[in-house]
Amino acid sequence: MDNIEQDIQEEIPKTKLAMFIARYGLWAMILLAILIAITTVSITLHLYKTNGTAQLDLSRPDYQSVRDKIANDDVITSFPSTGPLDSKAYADYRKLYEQQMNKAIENQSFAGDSLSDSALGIEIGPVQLEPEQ
Amino acid sequence: MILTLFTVAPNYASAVTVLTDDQIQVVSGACRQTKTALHEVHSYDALSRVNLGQRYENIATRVMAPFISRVNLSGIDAVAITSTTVEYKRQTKLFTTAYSRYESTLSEAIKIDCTKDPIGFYNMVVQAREQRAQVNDAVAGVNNLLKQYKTDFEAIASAHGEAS
Repeated sequence: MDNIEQDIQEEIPKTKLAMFIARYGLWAMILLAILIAITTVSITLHLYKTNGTAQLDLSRPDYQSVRDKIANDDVITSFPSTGPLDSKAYADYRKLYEQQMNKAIENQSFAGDSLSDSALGIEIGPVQLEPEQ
Repeated sequence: MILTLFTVAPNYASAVTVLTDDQIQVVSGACRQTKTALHEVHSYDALSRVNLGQRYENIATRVMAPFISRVNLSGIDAVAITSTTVEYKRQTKLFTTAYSRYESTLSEAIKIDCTKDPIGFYNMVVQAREQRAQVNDAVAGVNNLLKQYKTDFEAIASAHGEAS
């Protein structure tokens, strides 16, 4: 008799759960899927912004005007990491290295005064500096 | 005496720009034009950052590393050139960090409404300008190390029987 009562007591919650799943299962799954999607997208976007990837992502709408200017033609052939170091190897390496070094040094993109007052159209003359409080 | 020095010495490292009323008028009046210019600089600098970063990375992995490996395999003393390579990698990281800082400041400046807060906007532009100069210093540092590496390479080449 006691066993039957115990079985009934155990069965009631199971039945309730089964009824809940039968009634709301689909909605619960949809809600859960949406919550998981929101959480994972939030984490991904946070990482995308904080680890600097966003700053390099030229597919962003802000960078549309310069997207076609990415240097895609610049494929470097790797220098072989094995083999004898004879005069030909030195000459080949010199040619490869100088080519890459010169291309890097030629790039003076950050040297200009693109953010000067005159470049930005705000020629306000000399300004006064005060220590921050 | 020491106490006096401490109390009167201003902290110029974190100075803010104080604008007159006329200057504020100029900044807020040219707001739209300035914003357009900032957007353009932002885009072109991002492109330069991507192109330069790729080049630096390619030089490190495809040009420098294989040569050092080959020098080591040949039993040649490569202390100087290896040290320059390590310094080069450190300097390229400095470039990355400096650019990241600069880009964040420039983005902040772009977000500020310069008609409502011209002083805050101008101060942010000044800060971005200084940080852009730091990016340029980092690029100059990388360039110097590229030249140093070339010198180290020529030393190895001439010491090991290659007629330059």
